[in-house]
Amino acid sequence: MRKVPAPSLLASLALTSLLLATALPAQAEDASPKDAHAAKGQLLASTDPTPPIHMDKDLALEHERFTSFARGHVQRMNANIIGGKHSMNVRKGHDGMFRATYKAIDTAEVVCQVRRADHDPSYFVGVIIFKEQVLESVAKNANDCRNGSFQPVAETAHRVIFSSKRGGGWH
Amino acid sequence: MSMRKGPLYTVVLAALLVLVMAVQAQAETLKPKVDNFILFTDYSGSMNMRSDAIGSTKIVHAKALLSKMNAEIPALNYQSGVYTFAPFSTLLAPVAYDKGKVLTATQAIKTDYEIYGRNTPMGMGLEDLDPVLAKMNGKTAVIILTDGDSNYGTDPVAEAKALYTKYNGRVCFHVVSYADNARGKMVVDEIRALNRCTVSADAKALGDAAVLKKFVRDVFYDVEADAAPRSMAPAGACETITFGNLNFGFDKFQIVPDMLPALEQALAVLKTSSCDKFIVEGHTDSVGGVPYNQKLSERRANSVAKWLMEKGFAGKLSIEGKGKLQPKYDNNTSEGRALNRRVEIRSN
Repeated sequence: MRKVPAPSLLASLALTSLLLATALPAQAEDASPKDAHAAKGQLLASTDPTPPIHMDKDLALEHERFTSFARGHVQRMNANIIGGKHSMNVRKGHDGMFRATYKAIDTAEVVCQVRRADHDPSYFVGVIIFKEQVLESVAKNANDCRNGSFQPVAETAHRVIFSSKRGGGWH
Repeated sequence: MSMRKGPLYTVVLAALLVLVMAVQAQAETLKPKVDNFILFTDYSGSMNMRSDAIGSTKIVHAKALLSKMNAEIPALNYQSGVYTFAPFSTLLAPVAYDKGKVLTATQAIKTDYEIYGRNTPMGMGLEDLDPVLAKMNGKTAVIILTDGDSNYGTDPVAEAKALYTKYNGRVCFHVVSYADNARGKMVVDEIRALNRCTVSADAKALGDAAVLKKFVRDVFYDVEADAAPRSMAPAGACETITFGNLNFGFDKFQIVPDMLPALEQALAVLKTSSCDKFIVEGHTDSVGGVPYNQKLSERRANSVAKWLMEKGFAGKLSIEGKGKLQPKYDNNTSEGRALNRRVEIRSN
């Protein structure tokens, strides 16, 4: 009897590898769009040294801490800004109408962003993005316009950048 | 005699009322801000969970909110569509805006589906929306009702960013947030931070009719009324960057390692800004003399500008030391003085 020579085993292995190499892409093509989407997401995660933002739990927690800090910071800005609500400007116009104006940050539109620092991941960078508005109320007398309905008549775009060493908190 | 005058007074009053209403209607012309809008609702398992903040399941609230929003949107020749994601589905393909059609589509949103096994692939949802957006002409507002709790598939922030790049000013995402956990809140904020065109809204706050009215106005239309012109910062407008805690030591102006993360972030913002000329301004509080504060603020501004230039900022940077001469905050409080001690980068 003759023994099966080694090259046949090698040929089998080679054939199997070839078959697998052609079958796997075909399987991906046959996959549903959902599977393709998910595969893409997982591929991004596995090749990226830091997890994507939506999967970064530590970043999410830091964002929550920063948002809480930012709320307080915006309140301090609004409470201390020169020409703010506490010291609104009231003047009589040429048309005889009174106009009250004050500056304020639109708190409903404040957006907070947190990132890991590029050069040193032990730092976080927090950004408060907001609009500073000038609000105006118009009425026939000073008291009515102070207590009237204020509408934004001008706004400027701002961002304030903070950094925090991990565990150091925001201040 | 008085009996004959009664009907006459009524007619005169009615005529006056009609005249007043006509004048008011004439004074308020609504001008659409967008050509199209899409109502895009998160249909994932987490949206069918109860939110303590709103006192109901999120999807029930979202469905009702869509109905109220639809009632508020004026008929200004928009094209409108209604879609869901997680899973993606078309409830109303883009069609000339009709309140009845949009209402019927939103009423088709089910609120009794299974929570478990229903992930939130928000990134995939945005990807699936791309072909819809591609067919729309003009500007499109996408109102996304979501809790942001994207836990599957591609990065929704990256997808939204890619769509902003692809459509270059023709698309704006407005997120109505149902976020009730850290991840959701972060994802919502990250999408909002991508573009200044966005109008932010909290689902609970939109329960207030006045807040909803303002949201609809801010997203959908302008009012050309008899009022002072509004110089509102348009999307893409140059912004002022302030360093919140660039903690120079007392009488110091050198850049130290702790400052680098904030400076790097500022550089990244400047590099992508549509503006190319900036002033780096140093400010101090009111403590100390004018000459001392002016010199110190100038040195600090110079340190920041020098660092930015050395790190490759190619635009034009000028430097000014304002000292204590242009306080923005009240120097009579310690908080105000702390806020005044700052370096700002303003567009020139």
